[in-house]
Amino acid sequence: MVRWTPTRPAPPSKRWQSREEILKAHLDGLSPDELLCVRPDYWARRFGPSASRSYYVGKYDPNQPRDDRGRWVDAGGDGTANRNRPLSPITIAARRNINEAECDAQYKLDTFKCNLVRTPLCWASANERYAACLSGRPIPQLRF
Amino acid sequence: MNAISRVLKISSGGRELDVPVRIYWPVEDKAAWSCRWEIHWPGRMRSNAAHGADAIQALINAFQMIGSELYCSEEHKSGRLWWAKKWIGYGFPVPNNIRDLLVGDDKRSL
Repeated sequence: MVRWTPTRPAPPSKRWQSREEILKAHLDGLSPDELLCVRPDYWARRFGPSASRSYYVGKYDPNQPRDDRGRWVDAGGDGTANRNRPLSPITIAARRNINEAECDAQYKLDTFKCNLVRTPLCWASANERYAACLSGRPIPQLRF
Repeated sequence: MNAISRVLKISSGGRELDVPVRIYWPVEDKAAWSCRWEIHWPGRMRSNAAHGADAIQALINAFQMIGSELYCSEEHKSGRLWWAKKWIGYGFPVPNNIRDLLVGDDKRSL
């Protein structure tokens, strides 16, 4: 009997990884915007204090009223000061990503349901739900 | 795959940038018709596929999805997005539940 000998070297066995290492590899594979959404603390550590500072400084208002112990108090106005302040690009991107991803996922699920019932009303309803999601309005029920 | 397109404009840093919107011809899937669309924002792209019971509904739904995307975008809210000099709006319809967002000529004619 001829003894079988491997022609190719065996692939190196994968090193054991801790949960922390696996998580780090996953987080390192995310784009900065995605990372900011899921782990802002890790994003700040990874991109350094300057990036973190520019993000948080955008939210900081030195003129916001404080009480005598230095704590922030309600501005008492109509909030237009904050509304009129331009959002930092990072804030806008992060918020948009979350909304769009949610709406895409919702439409995908609606598509699955409408593929089962195959009625024009279902597709029209899915479209209305998508629009409601994007605009941040209450999402109506899917009609069949 | 043939696409029809419209080029919107956006002002950014004193410059005018193109925002091409593309809609591909509807194709029949297993259970429905689908119509792929793309919006090429500066630096990112949004794309999806609208569906319908037939090609026409898929196409109309694609128009409406694009209209929803445009009217819910930060670029629209900041007033930096436009289509043509003599048309206020983007010439895309939206579903009934957000029709109140339409502006200018879109509001009057769509």
